[in-house]
This record gives sequence, structure tokens and C-alpha cells, in this order.
Amino acid sequence: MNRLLMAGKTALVSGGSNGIARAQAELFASEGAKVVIGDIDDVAGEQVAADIRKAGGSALYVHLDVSSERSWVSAVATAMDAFGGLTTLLNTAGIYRMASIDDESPEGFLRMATVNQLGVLLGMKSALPALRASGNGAILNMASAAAVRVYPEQIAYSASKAAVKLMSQTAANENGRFGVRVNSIYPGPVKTGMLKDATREVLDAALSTMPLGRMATPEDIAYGSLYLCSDLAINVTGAELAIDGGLLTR
Amino acid sequence: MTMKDKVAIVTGGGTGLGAAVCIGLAERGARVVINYSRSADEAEATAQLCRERGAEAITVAADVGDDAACRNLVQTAVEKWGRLDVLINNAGRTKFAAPNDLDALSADDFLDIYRINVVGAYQMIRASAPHFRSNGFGAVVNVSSLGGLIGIGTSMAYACSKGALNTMTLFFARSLGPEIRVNAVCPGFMATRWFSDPLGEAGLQELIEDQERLTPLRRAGTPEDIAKAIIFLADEGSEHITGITLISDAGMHLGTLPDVKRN
Repeated sequence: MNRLLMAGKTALVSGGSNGIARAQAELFASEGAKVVIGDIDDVAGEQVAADIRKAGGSALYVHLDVSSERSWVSAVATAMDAFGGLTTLLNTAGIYRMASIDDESPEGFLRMATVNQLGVLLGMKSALPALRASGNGAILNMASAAAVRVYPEQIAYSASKAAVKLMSQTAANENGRFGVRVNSIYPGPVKTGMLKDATREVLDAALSTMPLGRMATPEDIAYGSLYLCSDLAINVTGAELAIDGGLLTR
Repeated sequence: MTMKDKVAIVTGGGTGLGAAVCIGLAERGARVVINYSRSADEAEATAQLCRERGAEAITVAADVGDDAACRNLVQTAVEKWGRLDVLINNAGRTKFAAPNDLDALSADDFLDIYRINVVGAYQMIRASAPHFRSNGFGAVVNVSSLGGLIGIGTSMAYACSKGALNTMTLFFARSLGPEIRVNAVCPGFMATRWFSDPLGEAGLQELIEDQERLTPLRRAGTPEDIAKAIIFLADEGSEHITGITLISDAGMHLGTLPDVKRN
């Protein structure tokens, strides 16, 4: 079992400058994937790519604004030019902000939908021709436990992630016959910068109900991502994988 | 994904999916306890395949519906290797019954199926839990079915038993954490003697062709596919996953879309 799980594959990772997406990029590269890191944080993204190359992997950074179709088309083209194809898309970039219904604004709601929901649509739309052409493609979209359970003061976030859940399954059903699998992951609280605006009360309430009683690390999420994007999961599409310490058992 | 020196019990491990799980665990370095109830020769053949992959393996007879046999099975593993890390509740039973034939299943048919698929899994987890706790960790994977989520399968009694197993998975995930993780894999279809024994090779072939025509991936699942999902959940890399039902079904649960053209 020494064969690398992502040998021969090329993955485009949105949000790869930090957090979960960075852990995905690093793990996939260590398993033999060529990795294209897309983000708006150019300095951090270049550093992640350089670190992966220093560790012996293949990686490059591309500026990617997930809310811009032109930016996606350019990122996919960069991946194709550099590595000769694209097999894997990780739609991991996302934003989080707490706001109750009373506090949410039209602008705030649309901003969340633009990054978390439209960003996933544009990523899939831009990458699918290349993924289909690869003959064995995989998309992994980052949903959230908040896509399937009610948590306080995050109506826009929950709605955007619920959209990701059904967009993933729609894409899975439409594209399975063309050799592309589409799955989604449902993290609970993860130790990343994205949760810096979550209140201590909300995090503690979640942790107290989780059978495993701890926050996830980005590496926990990356490991499940590796399973779903590798050929180990060749029979798996439309799956919803919770990596949440059991949060969703409540 | 390494399971080096982990000790794993696979119930119903001699044939079909169970054998594929045993071989997959052996390839990752685990020590495998292959349980069987009737298939002694097949279990020994599977043990040999594990040994050829450089792993240690033993076979143990036990009817998982019998609590004393479950305790003996676990005790045998612990006496042999001093620990227990992984339990794969794979042993299962069904009775084929047409969905519209309400007289095809008796009360005893239900109870026979529940005795293995539900009570057997419970008894194995109960017997294993003290050893997992003394390790500080343990992973249980219940082999369930898509039928237990959406109400399909070889019979009503079977689908109901797998629904119960999915519920047990949730219940145990909450009550046995944080030391013990409990998850389930829900296969859609896989080509094994489960179907060819009652339906013949031609019957199995027909089911395979249905899968290749109707599932989103246009694919019929194999025992090796499902074994990989099971091993993923048993692996330490999945240490933040508990209480889930992972579907591996070539997308069957999504339904069949009409054909569309796509470049």
C-alpha cells in the first residue's frame, strides 16, 4: 500500500492560502498530486506553494477571486497550462460571519451567497469541462454542519452552506455519467482563522454536545477530503461526509 | 492509511465483503480476527490471503446472535494479541421477499434477521467496549445498507434491520465517545454471492447491468469499493468522525436523471 493516493492527479484548491484548504493542498501534494493553490491572499498563497515545492511536491499559486467567473476561467487555464490537465477541484474558500435575522443586511446576505454559493457554482462550471475530459474527475465542496442543523445567529451562512449541499448533489447526479464524482464535507467547528468572529458561547455550546468533545483540526478535514478525491472512493458520489466530532448526532 | 499492528475483528469475515475487508486490513498491516458462523473453509482461505500479505490472521467460529459466543470471540482476540482496536460488524442475514408480497415474511423471519443484523451488532459492541476503553480508543464500523436509509433492498425485514443499525450507530456514537468512534457504511449494491446464491449467476448479472444503466456513475459497486470505505472510517486519520452513515452506492440514492447531452 505504498502507492501514493493522488499520483497522476492535478488539484485546484480554492482558499488554499490558509486553513482547511491549505491543509488539503499540503496533504494532496504529499500524496503525489500536482496542486494549484487559488486565493486572494497572494503573499500567503505564494508561500504555501513555495513550502510545498521545498518539501518535494509540485505546486503553484494563482490569484483566484471565487466570485469572478473570469478569475475561475483563468485559474483553470493556468492549471491546464502548467500541469497538462485537471482531475480534482476543491471548493473550499468560504467566509463566515455571525448575524441574527434582525441584524442581517441585504448586502451582508448577498456577500455571503456570492462567496460561499456562487463561488462554488462558478468553480464547478469552470472546471467541469476539464474534469470530464480527464475521464476520472472529482469535485469536493465544503459545506458545514450548519447546512443541516440550526445554529444561532448565522442565517446567511447556514443558507449558503445548505445551498452547497444540494448544488453538490445536483452536480453529482448530472455528471456521474461523464466520469466526475461530486461529494461534500460537513465540518463542525474547526481550528482556523475563519471562526475568529464566532463567540465563545456559540463554540462552547457546540463543543459541549459533541461526543468527541474537541474542535477539528484542518488536517482532520483534509484526511476525509483525500479519501473522497482519491480512487479509494471511486464508487462514492453525492455523499455527505460529516467530520464533526459527532456534532450532527445531536 | 496504515493500520500497523492494530487488532481488528471482522464478523462474517470469511466471504464476500467481509473477506475484502480482512484483506484490505491485512494490506495495511493489521492483525485480523476473521469470524465465521458456517463458512469455515472460506474463512481459513481468507486468513491465508491475509498471511500472504505479511499479516497475522486467525479464524474464530461464532454466531453473533449468541452473546456468549460474542464474548468468546472478543476474548480470543484479546488473549491472542493483548488488545482490540477495531470492530467491523459485517455479519448479516436477509430473506429475499418481493416488496408487494405481504405474506412472504413471517414474524420468525423478522426475528431471525434482527437477531444477527441488530442484536448481533449490539452484542459485539458490548463485548468489545471494555477493551476499547482500556486502550483509550477504538473504532467500530457497522456494515449497514442504503436500504436502511431509503427503504429498499432484498426484503422489508432486512431494510428495517438496517434502519435499526443506523439508529444504533447514532446512539452508540453519543454514548461511547470520546474514546470509541462508531460509524456505519451504507452500500447501495455490490456484486457478491449475497445475490448469486438465491438468484443465480444470471440473476446477479441482471442486477449488475441495472446498476451500470441506472446509477449516476453508471457503475456496479464491488466488495473492494465498500471495503475501502469501511477501512477509511476505521483508520486513525478519521479520528474526528463519529456517528455517520457513509453511502457508497455509485450515486444511487440521488435517483436516475433522464439522459442529457453533454460535451
